[in-house]
Amino acid sequence: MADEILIRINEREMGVRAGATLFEVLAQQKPGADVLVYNGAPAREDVLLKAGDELVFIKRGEIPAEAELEALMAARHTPGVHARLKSACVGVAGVGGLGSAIVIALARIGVGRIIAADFDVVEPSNLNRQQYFVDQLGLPKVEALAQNIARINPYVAIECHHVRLTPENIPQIFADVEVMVEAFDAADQKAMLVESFCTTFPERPMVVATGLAGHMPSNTVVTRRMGRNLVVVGDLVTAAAPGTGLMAPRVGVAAHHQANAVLRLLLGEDPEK
Amino acid sequence: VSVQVTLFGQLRHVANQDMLQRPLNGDASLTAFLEALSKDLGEDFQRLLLNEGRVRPSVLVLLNDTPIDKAAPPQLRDGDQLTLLPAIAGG
Repeated sequence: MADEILIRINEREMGVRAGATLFEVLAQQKPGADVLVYNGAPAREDVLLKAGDELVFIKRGEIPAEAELEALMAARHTPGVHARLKSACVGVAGVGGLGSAIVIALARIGVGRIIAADFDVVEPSNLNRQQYFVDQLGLPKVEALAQNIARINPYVAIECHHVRLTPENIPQIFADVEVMVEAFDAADQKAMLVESFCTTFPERPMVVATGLAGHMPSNTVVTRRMGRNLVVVGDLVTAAAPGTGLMAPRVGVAAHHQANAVLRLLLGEDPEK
Repeated sequence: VSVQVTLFGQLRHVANQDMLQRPLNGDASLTAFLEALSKDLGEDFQRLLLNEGRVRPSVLVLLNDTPIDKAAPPQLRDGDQLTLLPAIAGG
């Protein structure tokens, strides 16, 4: 109809009267909702709606229907981002301090498919920085992480490989990924992964981390493009070594640099600039 | 006839420079070039980059912006750009 505009409410397309306002539509569609998100941001004032607007109405404390949950979880994403991320596949090699935080960040933003590989199990010294729990000690990290992701965002397909990665199995395990993430601890393994993945899939971007130990200033961790398809996160010089431990805050800073680099790459943006 | 080398991480620190140009003389293999470069830049540089005449497993080598497989080191050509980054532990 000529006097209608199409908008999206809780991810469903809907026609509303041209000239309708946010608060009018709220009163009609979900009276009592106390969380209003308008195009990705909280709405505090009434606005005139326009075609293509995205609205999310949530009533605090109400458990939404399963069909609606995914849309509501994505309410604070920048509009238009969710669909792109939902169709994406990202690989993460190593799910320790970096990888567990990266996978959680990617799951929270709704990356549709994540392929994760790690040979290790959760042990007590991991818990100072890795995203696991005491009751997961002894579990393979990929299994523990899959459990945690299912609780955070059940709409993410996480494919886990409890295996030691080698130049022989890397091309097969990560054959489908659009963006690859290196999240190992050992320096020679980092280089091995880069060489194996980048020579097998030279057109696909890869995000690596080096130089994130200790408790140096956060701002010394940076994201650099180094080469056509290689993105490097870290200060490049602070290694985990006797006298310099691995601490949750700085490892987390680096992990989230990596996750943000993945997000920018998936959206066609330069991770560095 | 030369190759441009960009250094990162500890290699940059011990060489005290981030970029240099080095002539490509005689043997144009990557290994020979890096051995000659190491002799110019000192023992600490050599120790970080090489072990028993080979590039250390932890060092990332990019040739013209693309990581190479160190198991199959290439021949260098005039105008090539090498990037060297020693990866370090932590994750």
